[in-house]
Amino acid sequence: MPVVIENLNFTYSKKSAYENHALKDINLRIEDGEFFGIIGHTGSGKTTLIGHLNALLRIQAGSITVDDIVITPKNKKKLDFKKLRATLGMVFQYPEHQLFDETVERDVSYGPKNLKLSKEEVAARAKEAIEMVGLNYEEIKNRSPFDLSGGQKRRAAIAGVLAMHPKILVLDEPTAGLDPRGKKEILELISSIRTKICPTVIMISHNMDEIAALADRIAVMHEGKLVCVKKPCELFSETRLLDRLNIKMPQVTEIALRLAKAGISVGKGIVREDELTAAILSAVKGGIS
Amino acid sequence: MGIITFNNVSYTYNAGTEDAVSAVKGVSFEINEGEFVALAGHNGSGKSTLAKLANGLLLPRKGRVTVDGIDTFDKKRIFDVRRTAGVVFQNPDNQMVASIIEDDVAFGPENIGLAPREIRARVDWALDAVGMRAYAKATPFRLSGGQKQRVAIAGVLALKPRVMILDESTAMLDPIGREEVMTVIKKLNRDENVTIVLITHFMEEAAQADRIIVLNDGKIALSGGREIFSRADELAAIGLDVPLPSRIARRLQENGLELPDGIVTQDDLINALEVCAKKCP
Repeated sequence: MPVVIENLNFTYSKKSAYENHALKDINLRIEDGEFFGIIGHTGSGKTTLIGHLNALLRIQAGSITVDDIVITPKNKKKLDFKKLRATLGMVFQYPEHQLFDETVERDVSYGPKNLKLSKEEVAARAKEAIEMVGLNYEEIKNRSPFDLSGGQKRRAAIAGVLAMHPKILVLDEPTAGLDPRGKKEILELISSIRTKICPTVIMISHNMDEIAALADRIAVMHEGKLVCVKKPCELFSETRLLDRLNIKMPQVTEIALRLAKAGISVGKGIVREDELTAAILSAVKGGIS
Repeated sequence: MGIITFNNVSYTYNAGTEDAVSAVKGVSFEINEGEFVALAGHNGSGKSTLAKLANGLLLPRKGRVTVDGIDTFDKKRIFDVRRTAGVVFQNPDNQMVASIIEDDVAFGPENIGLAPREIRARVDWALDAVGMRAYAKATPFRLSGGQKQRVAIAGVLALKPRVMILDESTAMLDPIGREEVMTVIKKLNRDENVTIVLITHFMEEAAQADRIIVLNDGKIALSGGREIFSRADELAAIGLDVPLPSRIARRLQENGLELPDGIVTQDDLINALEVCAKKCP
């Protein structure tokens, strides 16, 4: 079942001096198996939006369907939170800040334990999740999560979410603050999670090169509104829209546009490095033959 | 003599215990006044330790660090060291002291006893420089991470340091915010002759510096101008990347296009391709 959001509205600090209408009439449908990107400036409502998907923020108006769970203002108190949070796994910004337990294994087991699974099942899930994120289970299970490197900590934190066996994975800027190697590792991990565990991924990113290369569709948020949902190649061809929203295009697209202006026609809708290389080769070498 | 000098500097965390971690190993370099130097390296390569050594927050276990000729071991002059070299850190939340943004930026100038009129002028100038003037009367606690970091940068700017050390200060910003900060940094370097030490793992940012020092495992692995980006394999081996235009140029070369070496920026790539396209009738 997909994720469906209808007429979602949300206001922070209602009826106070800090009142902030953070989400305005959001309507959105994310299909099963989709890699769905969300972009927008800081403060545009991205994090508020995904905070609704696992009911961390109490819904005020509208409705959300996650798999077969319906969240509305009327049922928000009777909601099966456990089921919801086992269905939709949430990896927050800087997830390593949420590591808390004495050992990596205990930390990763925390979620499944709360699902009241058998001891054996909890242990099996923790082992599987730790291995899934590319950490050596035997070597790391008894170590303190705080002694790991930055990239390892982040992977341990993601393992804690994967141990819940989610059907939908939501990630809020999963590569923020990592160095190039760490970034590459996390992106490869997300790809392998998609093929092995959880094909539906919703990801917030500020890195346009990253999101353009990965996402099937991208939603653009601006001042609490959903401006549009488009395929990367369509979205990043719309220079006027991007200018208006002050969104930087992927570097690859920028280079393609500048080349076109310089008379080297590489075609429209280029968002990936391999596409750009191929297009330049055919444009320049095409001139030779 | 350079405004910052490192002479065979080593630093070990938890020295003498079983948790000892040797973070910087016999590093020597010099940064001249007015230079814009990038310190690049993967997480754990020793970059942040260098930043802390450079203004006396950490003292070397071995070797000497000087700032404007003052040894950082000189306790009596440590405040001169810190006034000369200001540091903007990674996490802005750890750098906020006041509940109103302009008070936060004024904290440094007040502490060094400037006249109220001068403080006012510096706070306005610093907030303008980071594009946060509109928030002068707001509280920093309701800002996004990126906005907070710009306020933190303004707080250091307001002290008008001769050297500004930015310890991954752009890592938490969105692309536009990052570009704004880079523009501010370059402007300060060009117009105010502030020496910039930019610690980063964004190679596109490092490429904008006059000189790049690449660290690996606590030692200097590579050092030089933009030409170091032609050593893509070495950079990849120590967990770093080359800027995207360099990567594209390399792949085009591998596919038989005759492009010059040393392509780092978009301009380089586009100019080279224009020349290349003209050659092919």
